[in-house]
Amino acid sequence: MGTYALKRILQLIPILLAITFLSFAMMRLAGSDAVMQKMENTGVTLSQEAMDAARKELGLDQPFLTQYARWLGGVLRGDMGKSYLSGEEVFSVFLSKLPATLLLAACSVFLTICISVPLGILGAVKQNSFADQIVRWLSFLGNSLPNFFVALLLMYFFALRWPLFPVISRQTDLQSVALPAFTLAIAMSSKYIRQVRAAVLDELGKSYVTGARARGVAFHAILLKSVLRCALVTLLTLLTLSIGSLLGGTAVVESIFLWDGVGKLAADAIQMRDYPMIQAYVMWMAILYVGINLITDLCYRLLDPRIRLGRGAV
Amino acid sequence: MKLSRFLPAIKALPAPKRRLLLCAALAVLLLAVVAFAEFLCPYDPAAQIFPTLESPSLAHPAGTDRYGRDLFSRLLMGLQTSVFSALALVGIVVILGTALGMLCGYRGGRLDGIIMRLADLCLAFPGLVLALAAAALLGGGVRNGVLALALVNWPKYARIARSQTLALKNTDYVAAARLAGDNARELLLRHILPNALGPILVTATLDIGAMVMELAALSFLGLGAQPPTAELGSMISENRSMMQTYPWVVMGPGLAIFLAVAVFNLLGEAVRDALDPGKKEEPIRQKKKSGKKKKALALLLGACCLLGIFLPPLGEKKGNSPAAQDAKTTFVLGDTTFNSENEEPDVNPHNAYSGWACIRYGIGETLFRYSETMELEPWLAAGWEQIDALTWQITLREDISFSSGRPLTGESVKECLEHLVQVHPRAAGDLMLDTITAQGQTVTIRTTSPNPTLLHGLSDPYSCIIDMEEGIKEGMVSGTGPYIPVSLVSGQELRLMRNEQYWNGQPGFEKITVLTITDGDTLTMALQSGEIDGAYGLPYVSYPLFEQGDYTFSSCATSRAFLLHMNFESPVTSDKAVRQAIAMGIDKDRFVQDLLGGHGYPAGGAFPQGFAFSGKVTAKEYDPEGAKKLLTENGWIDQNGDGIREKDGQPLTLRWLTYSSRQELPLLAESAQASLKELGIQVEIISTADHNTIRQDPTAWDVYASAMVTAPTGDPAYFFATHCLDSSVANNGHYHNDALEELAAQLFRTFDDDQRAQLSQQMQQILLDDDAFVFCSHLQMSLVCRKGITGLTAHPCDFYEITAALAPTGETK
Repeated sequence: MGTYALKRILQLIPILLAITFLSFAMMRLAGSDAVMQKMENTGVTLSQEAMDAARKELGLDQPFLTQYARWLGGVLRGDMGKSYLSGEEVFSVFLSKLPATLLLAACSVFLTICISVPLGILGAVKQNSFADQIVRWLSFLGNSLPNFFVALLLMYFFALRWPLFPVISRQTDLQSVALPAFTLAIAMSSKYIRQVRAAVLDELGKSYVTGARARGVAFHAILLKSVLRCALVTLLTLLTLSIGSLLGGTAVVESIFLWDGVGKLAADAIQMRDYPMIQAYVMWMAILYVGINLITDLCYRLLDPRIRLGRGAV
Repeated sequence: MKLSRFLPAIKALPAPKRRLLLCAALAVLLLAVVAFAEFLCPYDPAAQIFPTLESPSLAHPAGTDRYGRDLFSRLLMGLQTSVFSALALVGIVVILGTALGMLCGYRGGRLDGIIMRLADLCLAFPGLVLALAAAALLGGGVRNGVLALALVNWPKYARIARSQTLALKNTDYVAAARLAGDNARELLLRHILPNALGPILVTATLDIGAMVMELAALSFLGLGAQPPTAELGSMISENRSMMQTYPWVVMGPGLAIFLAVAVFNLLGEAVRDALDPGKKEEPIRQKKKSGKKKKALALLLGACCLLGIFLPPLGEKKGNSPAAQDAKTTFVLGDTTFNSENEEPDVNPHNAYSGWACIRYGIGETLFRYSETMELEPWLAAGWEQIDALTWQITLREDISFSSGRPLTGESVKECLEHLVQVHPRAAGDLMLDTITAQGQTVTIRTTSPNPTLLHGLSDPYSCIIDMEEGIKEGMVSGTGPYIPVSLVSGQELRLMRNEQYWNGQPGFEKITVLTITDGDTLTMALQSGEIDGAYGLPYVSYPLFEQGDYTFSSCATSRAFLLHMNFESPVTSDKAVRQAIAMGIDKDRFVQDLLGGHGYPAGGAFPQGFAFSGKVTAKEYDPEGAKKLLTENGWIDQNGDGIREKDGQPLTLRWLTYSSRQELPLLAESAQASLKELGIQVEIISTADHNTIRQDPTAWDVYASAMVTAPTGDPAYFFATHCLDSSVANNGHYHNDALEELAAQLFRTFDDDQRAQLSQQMQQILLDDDAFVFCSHLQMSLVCRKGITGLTAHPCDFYEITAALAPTGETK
């Protein structure tokens, strides 16, 4: 398992190089830069000399490849550069905002599990019942509404009409995390409820269940001990697949709720052309993404003996 | 009749197939509606001819928007954009992904490795960031949004196609075909593709709905569709501030997206259930009991839940909000601009380009200040005297000390200003300091050359007098103002406490918190929920929410102007008649009244009325008939009957360059687009974050609409120097007038304020007579605070916000 993990980590290096180069190139080609964006925000007109001086200070007057080489050199020395806007070390800014995003992601995953596992099982066990129908309709609804629209609705109804949650988010308390986490969880749960339901139905139809029933094992025992475990494997696969979209999706939700995490940081940085900040975000997100995938693969091996023993491919 | 023949056949089908048929019919219906949207529109979706913001009625089933357009027609067109672009997107990724995937699976080896690593790369790249970056790179627009999302979404299909191909490659029938002499292309296209297509098609149908949503999300962030294209995501984004006041403009597009996504999702599921060969029939554990009734009941319950949402609010709000609790001692201000994006990372006036925060939040004060008519008056200074062209003597007040306790003396002013010009290039350029000498409470300043605007420079926020002995600690400084900074988190919050020793009256609050809330809607709701007491930078459409009883408004005109620059090198706008027609064809009153909700001031010249130096200028009146006549007289005539005038084969089309980071500019562009169309002028809007680069290329635009502060230092010279002269940085349209150059040279030498005002008036009139600029409106700056607080007063220079006068009602001294 150790060599497997090491191999995966080594594979990360060319991916990181390519990703950072790509994002570097894209942002440089996008036109406009931090100096101009700031000028636009303040509404004053800078003299050409002032703009040139500001660019020179940031190294924006250098050719593109020189800029990238400089940046890469900095990274290898452990220096990811300073924000063009605030002048702070981008890495420490990124680190200081990461917990908020991780908290948001964790809360929404937690909520997703809390919603989709019981409802999925309920749907499967009480197949085609009244409850099942409601769950199916709800998940259909959640699946068909864009998350920014859900966010606006939640904010309007639960922060304003019924002021249960604050409008301004402070990442320290659970009250603030509720609305953004729910927004993310609604979309995810809607997908997962069906998958869990299908997985449980599939499992319940298997002969070992019939066999266990015939031997007099209580239904809830089968459900909890065997069926739930298989449902978790399904859920885990799904969660991994959606980690990428979850990390990206937080950008929209964070922007709407002003959640002070890395997603909002990235969206703002892109708008302001704060290159070092964008680079840091892209790089660390790629690392996180690959890291989480690796951990999930390792988890599979623990949960499913077939994979551990080398039979069946993931 | 004919249908009845099919009914038994349909009934005989297995349930999944029947459902597929139904869903397919729905999807076909949706596609038909979308394909013929142009013919189904009851009105022209772009025509701004109806009363604005009408609620839904029989004539307008979805109401009208703030431009006075029929929303139902716009929803139909928006649906068309969304559905067609989603289909195109899915088409692209399916073809690209499948082709690459099959190639990888079939060939294997190095090519496989490279392409699949590339796929990993796209997957590991945070999707939305890639899309954001690509959209920023390619510029907004539906087509670029589609391309950006295609980049993120192809790997999924490549993986499916690859695994299918790998599995099929070694089957007997493929081997047989190979033996029969089929080459690789035939094998892939004729034998492998048809068999691999099933799972790909299932995934693709399921993806259409998701793609509709992702495209909408991109537009919601302002990177997809550009005005005036109707697109559902951007409609929600543009109108989200109106959720409370005019809910139909947000709910309409929201429901339309829901509808489109729902239809495709249903179809996708039906296709999967019916066609997916890998999927077994769903095992049925229990006997179905009266399924239909239950379905109906479930639907009913769902509908009730939805209705419940529209019930009146629960209980009384503001009860336990933190702001209300210690209302008497703490004031919470929400501000949209206190962050490094606006050059205000902290409250140190010597840092960053603007450095307004120090003066804005009552920490520092300047030697002179602006009155409400933007005339200079002494503040920390008691008086001043100009000794000769280069020398100025300023006497300070006696009774003032810094919050650090140190008394304000000539020496401390000297230290502060010397540090300022050392670290702040703009201040150094404005002040032109040569030497400063301090003696007791007197400061004598010598400038390097005659400087008529020295006192203006000394009134700029950067000239806040701070205690340099105390120094700058974590962006916080010690000033002479009514409040003292306690803690600061850049871009988030600033905490202040009362300066008990303040020289000019007792500050009204014990503590003040300034929260940076960049989003206008969040700011609105925070003020409504009572989480903040006052707000700076509310969106216009939120104003009606605060106009009743519970809040007080303070508004005034600022010199932030929305103006059009004419390009004198363009084949159309170099024609004086065209420029004149544009000036006559823009309905400034309608723009301000309807689109800014009356919260703005139609502009005549560069400076708002009420500024001491604005002067009386004559701008062109709104006169569409006159403009038409003028164009016709000058040979611009619509010969081919397409509604657009031409002259010598050159159609009268304006490339209108603008950007959307100021909420007023897109409104201005769309409003002008409609009113100029009436004159036979076509406007193509180029709205891009890259406008600052584009405007430097005079072949790329005709009219450039921008927002700028025309008199940031309370002096007229700045605007002319930066925008109107041969030497001006922002004179990108290459405007030139000899008389103007002459007057400008005179203005830069003149010390007398009355003479300066007179020159400024003459110069503005020249600009207006040449139609070099059209000044559309001036920003109305509004500060809103809840009842029970007085003294939050808007000032035309925009940088006096928190003062000692800010206090709970009844406690003002």
